[in-house]
Amino acid sequence: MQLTYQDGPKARVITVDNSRIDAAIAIKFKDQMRDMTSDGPQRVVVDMTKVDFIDSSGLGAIVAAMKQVPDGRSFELAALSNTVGKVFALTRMDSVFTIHDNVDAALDGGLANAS
Amino acid sequence: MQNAATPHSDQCLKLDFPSDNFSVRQALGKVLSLTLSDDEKSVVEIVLAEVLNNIVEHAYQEDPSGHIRLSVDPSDTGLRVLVQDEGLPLPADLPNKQVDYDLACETGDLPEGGFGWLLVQELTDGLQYERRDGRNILSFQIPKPAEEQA
Repeated sequence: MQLTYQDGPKARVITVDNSRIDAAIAIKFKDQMRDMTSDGPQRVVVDMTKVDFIDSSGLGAIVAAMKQVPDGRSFELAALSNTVGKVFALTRMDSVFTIHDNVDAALDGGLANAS
Repeated sequence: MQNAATPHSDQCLKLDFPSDNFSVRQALGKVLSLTLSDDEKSVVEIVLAEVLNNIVEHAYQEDPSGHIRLSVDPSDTGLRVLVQDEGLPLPADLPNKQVDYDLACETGDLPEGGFGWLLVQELTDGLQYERRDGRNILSFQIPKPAEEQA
């Protein structure tokens, strides 16, 4: 399980370096996300570019990660693959999350510009 | 024999493997090496990952000494899939259960589970479950995306 982050003045971008979020890493994902979203900038954008696949446990871990974000902070997703997007759409979780086409779109071009 | 040649779309894939996560991943890899469109692959991967994980986790309760038999038969209209195991039966109400949840709730009340069977139901046709001679027999079709049908 590998998460890294980068901060701008208003936003933190967390990058998921795994190609899959599934039952094998769901609990670690949730725990690392708790550490990374408990402080820092108000907006959190999760870059999912490298994630090809999530299963139902992975989706559960992403929902859990969003639920544990302290009040007043956002938890947004960017760059969902075709397969990951399908899982969100079929479970209607795409109506619950803010989902951006890519990180640049989420940040108005870059971390420094994000508001 | 399933390793003998490059699979063609008219080839039926039959696999028999133990109920551990590594073998399940390998089996999934073999199915995904069939000649399928990207869209089909993504649906097949979602459905089979859920079905096979359920067998490992619930039917065999993580006991890796169980057996799973999987057959995938490509046709013009999609893939016919048959999955058999000798583990515990599915809950009686699951096969036809209407999975539903309320998303118009507070963030803190959002569901974190119950998605797996919903995905299987949404992405398959003709989902049938039978318990026979101590075996679970699950069959379904994964339809070809409409624009790819002949």
